[in-house]
Amino acid sequence: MLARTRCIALNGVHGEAVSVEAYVASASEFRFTLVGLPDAAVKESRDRVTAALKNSGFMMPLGHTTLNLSPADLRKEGAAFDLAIALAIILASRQLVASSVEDALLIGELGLDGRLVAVQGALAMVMAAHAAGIRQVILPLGNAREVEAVSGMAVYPAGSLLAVAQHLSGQMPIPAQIQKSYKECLSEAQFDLDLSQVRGQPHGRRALEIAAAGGHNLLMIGVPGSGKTMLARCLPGILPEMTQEEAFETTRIHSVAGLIRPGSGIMTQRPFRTPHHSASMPALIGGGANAKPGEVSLAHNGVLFLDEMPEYPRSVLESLRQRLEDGVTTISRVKAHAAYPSRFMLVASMNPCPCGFYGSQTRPCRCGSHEIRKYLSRVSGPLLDRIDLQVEIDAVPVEEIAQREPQEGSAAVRERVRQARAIQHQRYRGKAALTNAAITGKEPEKLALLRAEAVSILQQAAKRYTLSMRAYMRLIRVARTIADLAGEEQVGMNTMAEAIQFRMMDGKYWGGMNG
Amino acid sequence: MAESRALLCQVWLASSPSLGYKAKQRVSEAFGSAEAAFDNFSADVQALVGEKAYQELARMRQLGLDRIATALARIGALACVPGDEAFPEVLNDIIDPPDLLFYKGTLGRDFGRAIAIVGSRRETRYGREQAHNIARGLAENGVTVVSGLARGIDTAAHLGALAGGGRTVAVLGSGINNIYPPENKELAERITASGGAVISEFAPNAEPMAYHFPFRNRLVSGLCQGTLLIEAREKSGTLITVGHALAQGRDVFALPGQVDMPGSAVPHQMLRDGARLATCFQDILEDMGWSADFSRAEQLDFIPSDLTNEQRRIYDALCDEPLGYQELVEKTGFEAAGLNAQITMLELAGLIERLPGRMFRRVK
Repeated sequence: MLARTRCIALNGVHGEAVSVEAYVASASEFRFTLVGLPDAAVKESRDRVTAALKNSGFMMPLGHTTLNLSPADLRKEGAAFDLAIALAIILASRQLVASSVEDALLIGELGLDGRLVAVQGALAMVMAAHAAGIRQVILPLGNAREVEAVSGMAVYPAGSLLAVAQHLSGQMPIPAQIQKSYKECLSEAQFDLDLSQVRGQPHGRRALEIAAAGGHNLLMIGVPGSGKTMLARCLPGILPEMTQEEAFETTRIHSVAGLIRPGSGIMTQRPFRTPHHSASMPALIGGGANAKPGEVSLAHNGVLFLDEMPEYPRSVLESLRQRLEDGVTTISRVKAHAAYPSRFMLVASMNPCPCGFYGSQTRPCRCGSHEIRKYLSRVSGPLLDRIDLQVEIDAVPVEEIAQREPQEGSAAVRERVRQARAIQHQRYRGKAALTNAAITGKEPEKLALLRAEAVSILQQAAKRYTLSMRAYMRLIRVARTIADLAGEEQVGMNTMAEAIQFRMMDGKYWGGMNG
Repeated sequence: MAESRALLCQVWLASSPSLGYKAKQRVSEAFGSAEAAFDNFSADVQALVGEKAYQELARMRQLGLDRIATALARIGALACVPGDEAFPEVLNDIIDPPDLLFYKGTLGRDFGRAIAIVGSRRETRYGREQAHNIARGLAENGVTVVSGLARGIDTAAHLGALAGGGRTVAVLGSGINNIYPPENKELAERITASGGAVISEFAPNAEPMAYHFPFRNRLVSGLCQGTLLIEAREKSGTLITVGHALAQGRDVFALPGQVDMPGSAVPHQMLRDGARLATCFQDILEDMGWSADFSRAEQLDFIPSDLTNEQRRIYDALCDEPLGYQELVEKTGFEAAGLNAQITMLELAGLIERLPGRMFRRVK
């Protein structure tokens, strides 16, 4: 007899519906064939399924069992097909009678004892299934919370193969999980660091707030120990929660990468990724034989923090530049080809010179101007061009750290950021960009609503500091965000004047006297 | 300009990168002149100069003097020997005077008033600024600034002299056609284009060998009546220049630095040992007895008139010394947003400037 069950094959974060077809022909000897481009983990499922069937009170049918994963030309990976395979066999060998199996998506890896084990990429599979018109899913308990925010889907979490069989036969139906709305999933998150713990740093705090409000990339330059890393770590605490759409996108990527722990729900807080500078190119950009997502994609809708940016290999920094432009990472391997969204906020820190103390008020710098230039040139101009906010962080003397009053905490700042973002969402409704940082080309000039005196001061600055066209646009974007934070409709003179303080560190300032 | 045959023969002798100063002298002495050596060139020369230099000379000789002249013209260089219209007479007074100079730009028999500015290649911002300012002041008063085109203080001195619209001369430790460091190629071109000169006594394509520099330094000090030292660490090559200056009977000036900086120790030791103190270009003009406007430009307490109250608050806060951002916040009581805006206004008005480490100071 022929039986058919359904599951999803993932390619990157995208999935395609796959039918598992089982056919059992009576014959005197036992034979088992699995076809349809399975990878090693799928092939191994034969052994897992055999044991799981036995230990769940079923048996492997005698005769010839043929399993086909259709469409047959689509590559299938991972252990998530176990459940669909096991049930197809049970049904084809008439060990169970169930009517509506084909309506449901079956996800799950089987243990030898028949228990269902959580899989990677559950959310991506469920979302793909939903798009393919499937409205029911049976999956392991450990994956249940991950998909709790998917609406229009009946989710049946099951603990074992037997439970699934009893559910399908109607013997002991599993109650559908009560799905939550995204709003219900939002919870007051706890952050390691609060801005109130940061002493001093008025300029750095301000830059951080503007960066968060407009989604701008941020570069912090300062002597070692000035608190660059601490400031960066405060960023998650002042960023607004993800929108529902963003949360799904981001969770899906983390799910595919196997970073969602069994039992945890959808991500609502923006990811904050901190790859070390020794991380390899595939780790950062994505890759490997299976084209797994890299840090740039894991940071999607969140923050990618590069501590000591000049220490990263030049090739890595250059490939980052492209992600900053496209917002998508396409990974091509011989065996796989996948596209992952990767729209992130880049936050980077660096020392002003090799010894770290150029411009320090407490320790002399021992670097020559040539060495400093060489150090700075490790970060290319085109990459700097894409970093809207570039600020110097000055060191706070130790004795002052103890004295200072605690300052405004993250919650208050986050509220302002939230409001500024709401204004931006309103302004850019219907456009691809939702933040000031994402508007490109000539659009900033049109959309920013600059007053005449703001344009005039910007032009003065452009002349005095010989700003490039890119830098000019950058300042307009930053000024727009500052105005949004203040709730101002137009960009005035003072707003623009403040933005100019976040301009590019020009060569004259750092490199010496040339020019 | 058609070089004389005697000069071209000297160029020939000087074009072998493997032929050192002493060996060159041996050849000239053995034959009586470079021209005689060219004409009577034989395998005997090998005993005087070694095999490598001999081969080079032989190859060059085969090309002929015309080819040597064209090659020199092609790289845009000129050559001069003692007694020529272009050869600075002042060099005849020094020990081991050069018997041939390659140069680009303009040189003259009377080198005139000149001060050498030498110092660290790993300079501080302070040293760079002072080198620049003093060189500019000297240039504005008609004094030639001589240096070595190296990174750091040398570069700042050349740039300062150019900014002052004066003459500046760079003495190279490499060949005239092989500018070192490479990033100063453009600077070398600016120097020759502005009436100054780039000179070298080494073969036109000679590499910047380490032993060239101490030797070259005698020309830097030798061209000048005084040498100013700005920042040098112990064992610095600039000490050799200072040593040459003393041996040549020239004045030595030193610029004081911050006492806890590594580059200050040597200038301070020099000052203790009797070098003249130079805090500005006027000091040098005065000590050299060169007429100049000695009325030190008094720092008038210039108060700009059209400032808003907020801007005045910041400007006033910066009256004594540069301040960090944090200190400005405390002194003026501004929030970061407001302070940033006002700083931009003051910067654009040219009243204050930003220093590394987010320090701000009044523009003098």
